[in-house]
Amino acid sequence: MSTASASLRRPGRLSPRRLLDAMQSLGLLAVLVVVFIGVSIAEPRFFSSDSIKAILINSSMLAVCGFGMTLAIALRGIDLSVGSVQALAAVVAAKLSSTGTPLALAIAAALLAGVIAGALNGVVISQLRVPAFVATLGMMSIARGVALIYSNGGSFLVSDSSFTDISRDSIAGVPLPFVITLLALLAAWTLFNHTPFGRHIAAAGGNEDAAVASGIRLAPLVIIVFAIVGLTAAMAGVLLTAQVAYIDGTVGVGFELNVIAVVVLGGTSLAGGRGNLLGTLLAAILIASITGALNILGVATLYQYLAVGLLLILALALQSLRDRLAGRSSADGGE
Amino acid sequence: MSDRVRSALTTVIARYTIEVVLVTLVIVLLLTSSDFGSSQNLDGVLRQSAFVGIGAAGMTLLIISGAFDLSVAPMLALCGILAGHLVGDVGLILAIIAALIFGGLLGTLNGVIVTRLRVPAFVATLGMQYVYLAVALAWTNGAVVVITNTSFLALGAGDALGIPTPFLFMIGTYAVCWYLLWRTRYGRQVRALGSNERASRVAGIPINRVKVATFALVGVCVGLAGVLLAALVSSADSTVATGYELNVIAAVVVGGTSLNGGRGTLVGSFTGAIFFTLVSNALDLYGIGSYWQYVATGLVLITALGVEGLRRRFWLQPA
Amino acid sequence: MADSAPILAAHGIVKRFGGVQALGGVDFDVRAGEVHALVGENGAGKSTLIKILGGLHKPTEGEIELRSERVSFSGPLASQRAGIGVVAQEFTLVPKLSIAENVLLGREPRRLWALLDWPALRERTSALLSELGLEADPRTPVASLSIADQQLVEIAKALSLEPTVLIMDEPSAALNESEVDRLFEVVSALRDRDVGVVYVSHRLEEVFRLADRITVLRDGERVGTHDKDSMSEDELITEMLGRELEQHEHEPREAGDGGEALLQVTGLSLDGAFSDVDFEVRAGEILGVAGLVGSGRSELTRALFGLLTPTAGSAQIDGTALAATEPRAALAAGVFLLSEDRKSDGLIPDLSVRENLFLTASPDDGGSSWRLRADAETKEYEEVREFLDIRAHSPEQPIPTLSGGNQQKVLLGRALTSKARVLLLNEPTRGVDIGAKSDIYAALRKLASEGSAVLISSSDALELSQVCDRCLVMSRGRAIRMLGPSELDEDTIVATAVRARAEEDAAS
Repeated sequence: MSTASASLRRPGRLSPRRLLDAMQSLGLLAVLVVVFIGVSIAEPRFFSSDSIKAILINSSMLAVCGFGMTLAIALRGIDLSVGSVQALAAVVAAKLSSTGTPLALAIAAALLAGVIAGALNGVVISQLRVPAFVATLGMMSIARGVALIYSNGGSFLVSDSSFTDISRDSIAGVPLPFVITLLALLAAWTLFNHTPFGRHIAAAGGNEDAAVASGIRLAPLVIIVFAIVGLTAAMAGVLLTAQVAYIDGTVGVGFELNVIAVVVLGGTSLAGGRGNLLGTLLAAILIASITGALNILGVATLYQYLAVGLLLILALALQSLRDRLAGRSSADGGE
Repeated sequence: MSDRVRSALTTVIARYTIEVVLVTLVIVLLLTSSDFGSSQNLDGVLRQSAFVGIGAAGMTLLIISGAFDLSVAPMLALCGILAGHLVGDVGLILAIIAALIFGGLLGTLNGVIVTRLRVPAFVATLGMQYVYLAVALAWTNGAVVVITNTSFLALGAGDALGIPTPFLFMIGTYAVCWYLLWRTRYGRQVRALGSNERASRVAGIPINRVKVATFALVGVCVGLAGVLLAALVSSADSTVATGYELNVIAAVVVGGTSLNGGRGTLVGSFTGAIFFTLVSNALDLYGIGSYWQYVATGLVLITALGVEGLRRRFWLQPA
Repeated sequence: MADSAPILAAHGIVKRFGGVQALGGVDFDVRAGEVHALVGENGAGKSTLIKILGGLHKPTEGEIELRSERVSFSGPLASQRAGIGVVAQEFTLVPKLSIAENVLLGREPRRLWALLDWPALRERTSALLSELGLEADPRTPVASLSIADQQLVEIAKALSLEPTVLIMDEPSAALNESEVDRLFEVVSALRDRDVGVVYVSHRLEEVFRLADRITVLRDGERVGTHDKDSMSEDELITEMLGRELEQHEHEPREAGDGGEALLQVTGLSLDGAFSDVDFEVRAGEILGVAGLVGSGRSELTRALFGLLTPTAGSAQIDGTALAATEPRAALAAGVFLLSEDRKSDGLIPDLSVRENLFLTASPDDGGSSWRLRADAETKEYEEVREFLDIRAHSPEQPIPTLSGGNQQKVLLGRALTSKARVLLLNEPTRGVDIGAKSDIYAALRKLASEGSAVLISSSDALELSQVCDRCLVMSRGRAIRMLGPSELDEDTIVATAVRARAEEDAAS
């Protein structure tokens, strides 16, 4: 006598989880479209290819680092050090490049710095059992200090055009930074959804005890995930260097909160166990669009802050509402 | 050393880790630095630690209740700005009261967003951080509010009973918060809430009221800190305390309060705030450049909690 | 038929934690194709023993043999690899992941070394599920399954390791009658496949139904191992307790006896859970509510307490309308709820026993005073402790250090401190040992005799028949029948519930 209850739930290809993610992405897309249409009517320049390219470029840093952060949050962790690591990587890349190091080497060194910083975060979290919030808070301070020390408080101007071309080139009309972003999305998505490693991240974030009981070793998992976050933060640093060419040790302050905002807006829950990478990308584009729109409309920067803040709260209030209407407890989204 | 003494010592160190570290640091500094013991230096340390310390008092209760407030930096700025504007017109006392009430209102707003809109505290206060910052920028137009009222400035720069006034306020704030946490029904409800929210609801605790009240408490504490900081630097502006939220949380965490909620110590946060100020002070006295100070502060934070983590892992003593 | 050479044998197991001895030289073995039940009061050492067999602890002394070869497990994974599967009381499932991801977590089939082989994963999971009679799409997130189905997923997970020994710890604790039947089918099928099953349970009726051998533990010692037919239930209980169980002969009240109707429920409905429920509970009466899964009895109590909002109907306390929209309001009206899951809905783990007790109401004030008064609390704590016979060293103890039964007593104590007159209890003795159970029943009867109205919703028909005066049987959200005092025996209760369900199933 087998129960009929379970057989009533036949999710098909679109399981409830995927559906929720899809709705979140759809919602973001809708807001994006509204913003675009609205602003383009007021200011037609907004819809020009230059303007759109600028938006895509600006969204790339947030998105790339956002993918890493999405994985960390899916693991039920967080990384507050990405702003400082971005600065560290930018300083490394800028200093090396402006003193004659070949492009590939300079970039490699910058990425390596990010990986090391991230791996150290992972070690502190998994071996010393320091909560991720605190560990990465400490690294935020340390990486900033290292960046300032390595740059000696000074600044660098990158004159190597092959470096700055990274920000200026396009492939088939799509800005190179955005192409990189899309490739990063593909890599992160495959890793998270189609490898056992990625599933272990979701398992460890969803129920750590269950993951451990199933033989998943947490320490390598944590270290690698945070190393990935460090890598993506460093990639954001390289992209920044390519874009602005003028780097000092104070860049990227506050970047981490922007990245976290983008990931949360994209639909990834802070409670862990799930991650919406596409949502992260859409949210990054949305934020970049809003910033671009406000710029082109000549609105003061403070309204950007207002817009991001309200958007964040509104988006999550709606998400909470939706969860409650669907009968799910929204008490899982948070501390 | 006999076994009993050793085990007693281990217990003390385990339960009062940060306090022991602080005392050790003070002793080391007294012995190795000639400038440390000067009354001017000590005065500076106590004075400086009050700003993060007062914010940490309210934040401790909030973290125990299971939430965070990431918006305290612009809240601090806003309250300082308000006080700075008002003090010329309504006098010192009313300006302070207004700032405290304003802080409480901002905190209440945070609490309402969390309880009514059901937005998780981390995200809600992250969003409100942006919003409050925008408000501060709009209010001041990016300019700095200069404060000249002497009695106001005395709050920040003066002494009372031989102790720096801000530090006196800090002691008072902690006394009030301690009483609230351990001697009132509200305090017990805060701890229950952070420990198991569902069960607290079934037990009849007014969850929303407790949450909003605690956010409001953070707002009042931060308002006080804002007034004192504005008094000390004789000015108020929108970005005066960037990074404040992280300093406050660091002090609370180093002090021993768990980020998971349900358990915590105000004495620890008090000590934690002084501790960080002391570390900065020590680095200054030893002539370590400010860049290295960043590195040192980060290492200190990680070490403080890393040691705790290692201890729990290998010695299994009660935390 | 059980093979007489044991697969797994433990000899002289001693386990000490610090200065406390949990097991004092226990012998235990399991044969292929047998169900060997392990019984004993809380604290008897059952949990410790199976943790040792499952590799979670190492024995302080003694040895474990697997197929007559000495083994030592370095951890739970080693024991798993050796062929010992464990289905623990706490589920080790990741709620947001799908069934397939959970069942083969950590052992996912791979393609090209790094990629997940989804089709293979789903196929293997489906095969395991169908063996257990669970028809579900392997892509379903586990969180959307019922508790009983989740447990089957747990079992599937344990079975995916192809164990030769399966240890099940209180598997029926969260299940109702029909789910328990399904569980038994699963266990029997395992037995037929020559798996040795260790079945730990408080429910002696199940033990007698299922087990081939029964081992009794008491105070960390093995008191005896018996073949199932060689002992009666009473003898078993005596061996478990080391004393005779006091027979609480309870004279059920005659209809018409007793006080005024304290709780009156009229036409109460909650869409999707229950509809048009009428009943009343009188002062001094203990009313039982029985029913299979989906009967709506749990939702009924939660609706009365304000955790759910009814869509129609009304309830009254002592003539005054009861329309609680949240627990606080219900408590203020004199209604108290004991939830069925004390871990998630009852205990506050970071608070002490005393603080848990007085969370709902402070002494002597009905909850209005804002200051805590230690001496008033201590005094009232003593009274409550004595009334319920709570075993705790000190009221300042953290509540997790108490046994399940004593924790339940503390939670029940909240009804006393909040001066509730209507008590709604969901599964009041789940996970509670026999000694504490009878203490709780005695306390409930005392409370009833002092004028309270008690409602017990339980899946334990025996409990209902022993403790209640009348019993309402619900099925699929409807109140089917009210059984009077003369009809109140276990078989009638179960039969009514099952028959009602069968009729509904036939009609639909």
